[in-house]
Amino acid sequence: MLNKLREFRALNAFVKKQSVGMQRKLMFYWVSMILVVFMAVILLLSIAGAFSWDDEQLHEVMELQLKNTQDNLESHLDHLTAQSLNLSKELSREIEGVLVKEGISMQEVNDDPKRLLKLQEVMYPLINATLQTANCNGAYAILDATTNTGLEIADHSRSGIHLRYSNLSASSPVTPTVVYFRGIPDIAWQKDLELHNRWNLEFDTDQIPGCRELMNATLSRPAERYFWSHRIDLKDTWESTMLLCVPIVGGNGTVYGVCGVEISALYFQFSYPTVEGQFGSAVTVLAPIQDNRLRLADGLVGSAKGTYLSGKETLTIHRGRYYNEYDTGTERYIGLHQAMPISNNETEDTVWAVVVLIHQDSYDAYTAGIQKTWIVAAMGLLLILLALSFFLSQRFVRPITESLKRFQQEEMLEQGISSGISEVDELAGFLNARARNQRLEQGELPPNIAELFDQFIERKGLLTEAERNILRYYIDGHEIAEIPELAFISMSTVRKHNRNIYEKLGVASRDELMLYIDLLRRCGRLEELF
Amino acid sequence: MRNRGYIFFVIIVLLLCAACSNTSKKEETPTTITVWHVYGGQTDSPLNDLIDEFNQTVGKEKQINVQVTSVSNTNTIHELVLAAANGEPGASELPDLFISYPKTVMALPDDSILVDYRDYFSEEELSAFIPGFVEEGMVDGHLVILPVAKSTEIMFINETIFDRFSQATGITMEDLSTWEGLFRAAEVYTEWTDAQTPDIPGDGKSMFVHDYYFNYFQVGVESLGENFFQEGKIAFGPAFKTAWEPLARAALKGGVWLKGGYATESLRTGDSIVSVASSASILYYSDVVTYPDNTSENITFVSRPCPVFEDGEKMVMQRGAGFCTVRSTPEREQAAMTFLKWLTEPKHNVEFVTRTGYMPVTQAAFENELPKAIEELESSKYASLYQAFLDTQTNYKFYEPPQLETYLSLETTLEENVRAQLALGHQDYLNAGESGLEQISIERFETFRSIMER
Repeated sequence: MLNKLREFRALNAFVKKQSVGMQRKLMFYWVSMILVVFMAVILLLSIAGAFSWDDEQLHEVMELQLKNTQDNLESHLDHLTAQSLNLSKELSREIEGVLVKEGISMQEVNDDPKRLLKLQEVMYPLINATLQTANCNGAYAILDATTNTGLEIADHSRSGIHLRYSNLSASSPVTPTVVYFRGIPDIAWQKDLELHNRWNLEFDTDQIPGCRELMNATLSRPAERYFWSHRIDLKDTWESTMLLCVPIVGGNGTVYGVCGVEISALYFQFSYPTVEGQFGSAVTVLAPIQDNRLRLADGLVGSAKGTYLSGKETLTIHRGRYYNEYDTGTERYIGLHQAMPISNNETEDTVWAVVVLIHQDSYDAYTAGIQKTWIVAAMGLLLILLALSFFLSQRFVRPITESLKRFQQEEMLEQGISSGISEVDELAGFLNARARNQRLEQGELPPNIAELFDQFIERKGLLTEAERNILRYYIDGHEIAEIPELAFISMSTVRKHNRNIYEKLGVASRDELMLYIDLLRRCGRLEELF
Repeated sequence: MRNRGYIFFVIIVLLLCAACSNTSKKEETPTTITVWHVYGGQTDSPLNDLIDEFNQTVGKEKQINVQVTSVSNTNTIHELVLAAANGEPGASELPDLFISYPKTVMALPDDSILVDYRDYFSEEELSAFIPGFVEEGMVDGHLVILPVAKSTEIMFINETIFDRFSQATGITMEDLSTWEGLFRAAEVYTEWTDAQTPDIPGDGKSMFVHDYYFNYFQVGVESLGENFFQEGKIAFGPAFKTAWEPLARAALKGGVWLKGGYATESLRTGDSIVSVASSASILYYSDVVTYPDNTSENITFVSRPCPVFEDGEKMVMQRGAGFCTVRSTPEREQAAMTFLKWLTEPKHNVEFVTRTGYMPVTQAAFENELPKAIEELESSKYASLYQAFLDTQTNYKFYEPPQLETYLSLETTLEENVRAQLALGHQDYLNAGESGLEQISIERFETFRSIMER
């Protein structure tokens, strides 16, 4: 590890020693800055909760969904209870009417098929009316009497009528087909009703837990105690159902029997379809919770479209911040639940709850989709920023590199460089000035002066031999007065030559001429005049 | 310029990525298809068990979930389908799959709402089916009904009570092999049961119930060599009278159950002991009879081939509806086909039919799987049924009802009227006595005929 660190430091030092292009360095700074800002933004977003937004949103959606479902279900069950209580009162009145007319008590109806038929005949219209008007798929009434007390099954066999719909479908029950599930068949034949394939003459009260206790209770009014049974399998059929059990209370407080309505698993499935949402299909459940387990087999499950729920599972509940997890052992669901009492005066410690469930996979698919979008967007933003940094650094460096190129090509411009960047222009000016000074120090003439000299020397070729002689005398330091004597010519001839020399060499006076000569001498170029 | 091109490229890549990231979220959830079927009625449904098996195996693998939303009978489904197809207020939404006879399809306002199976089944796949069964599913040149199970009419006998009757009267099961014999036995049965309660006169029970008297007359007339239908109506030829007479005689005397509903009902309450019904109704026959005093008796059911007329050919009705698939999305149609192909595989098909009292629909299932399955049948009720099935197949000619537009209305009217007229005749008989029997039968036939010819 230490070695690695050492190696890395060595590498870093080496890199530092390396000369790095300005653009690359600038780019590096840009990228570093972008990454720091990017990380900071991500950090801020996650602190601000932008990434747990889905969970929050799911929570809100599910809470709303749960509230709506609970309202619907509560109102649905309330209506059914009210209608069943009403059925109970009307049945009580009719039954009492028959008993009074016959002058017998309820116990005396036992072993009397004719009187039982009479009772069922008055009960049928009320049960049928309840079935037709209530939002349910079956209605029934059980009398605390049996056709034959001599039978072994007599203690749990009770006479009554149970009517059910046979052609349930999502929206059809405008003209539902009523089948006769329990009861004396004569009524079915009178009313032209089909007997259920698994018809039976009497109810088996053992199939309805709590029914016997309710029949044996002494109550002053039906609303004092009623309950919804757990979901029970209808013997020998493929259907299962929950029964609302309301006591039929007689005038003296004795319970004549039990009546109510039923909601079958299939009816509930049609009544509570899945709610399709962005997170997946939400399934409605009404089920008891025991020991932190949601027991679907005892309750009812709405349409499970889009999931694999069969309605027989027991789900372990794991509570969470935004939602709960419900685990079947093989499948996981997420959702929320809310306790909802559905029975009155029941001693059982079971809590009934309304639950909204979404399959974990569909939520995962949704969040994975969102995450993918986030990642793609973040990567895209990063790419754009990197491209921008590349573009900007290149644009920034371009005038510098171009200037450099021009330097390299030795395009020394007297007026300097205009790059658009003042520092670069200054640097160029500075470098220009320094280069010039260096040249001067090395004896080099400034180019314009050298040009003047060159022109001067060039023009020397225009002079005649005599004029060149006279120029030499001047170069040698002779005054004009000495020239006639030295050159054996008259003064006027000297003056004439002088005029020509000035004119040809482009000077105005002897002093200017002498300045040139002096400067040429100083520059070591005097011999070029010869 | 090069930089601009570079940025443009980056943006295009980003847009493509964004476009890709949002596709096909819904593919995760299973394709749910709904089914209305008739296999099980209100009892335990073997098809539902098979559907569960499909959902847990192939369904899970291919993300298909089949949901049963109605188990009913073909008549109820017929009504529901027509209401839905005609868009009547309050009608249900059509399911993806429903069970239907050609009569339902023919009554549809527009049969293009149904999938033509030839779009999804190859020639080779269709050739695995028994050709006649596939032909029955053709309506207006489209294969819209896929056979999954076929049934025939079978005679079911409550052997426990029949044996008592037989010992007391000497009537044997052999006597039930002809309609004439069966109705004579029914007359005797009423007298025998009436005699058991001497203090209550006229409380004799019916021995026999037929699920479809329409089928009785139809097959009977055809077996006697006459056409039952003529130009969309019933041809009341001499053979019809031949069929009417023994039935009417027994019915007027009280030997035939004439109340509405299915044959299973009166056998369940002990009000009758012999029925002719679809082999598939075996599911609905309970092994227990419950009497009005709430006593129950365990009974044994045996099956025999359908009775025939003494002078008629051995002929029996071939029945069995098939699956129609409603056009929807390609995914749902494909899911429905996956399920139907699974259900008609010989192994699953035989498992399905032997639990519901049907015959399989493919050659391979008939030849390879069915004999094995019959040998393994544990229930004597089912063993007896399949024995009767095999006897029928060897000795009988199968009759397929024609595809008539008036078929359903004729069937409904005849069912109602034959029961009503014979029930009224029974009352007349109770008032008039034995001497009026012949006359009542003729009068009721004339009334019945005039109603049918209206």
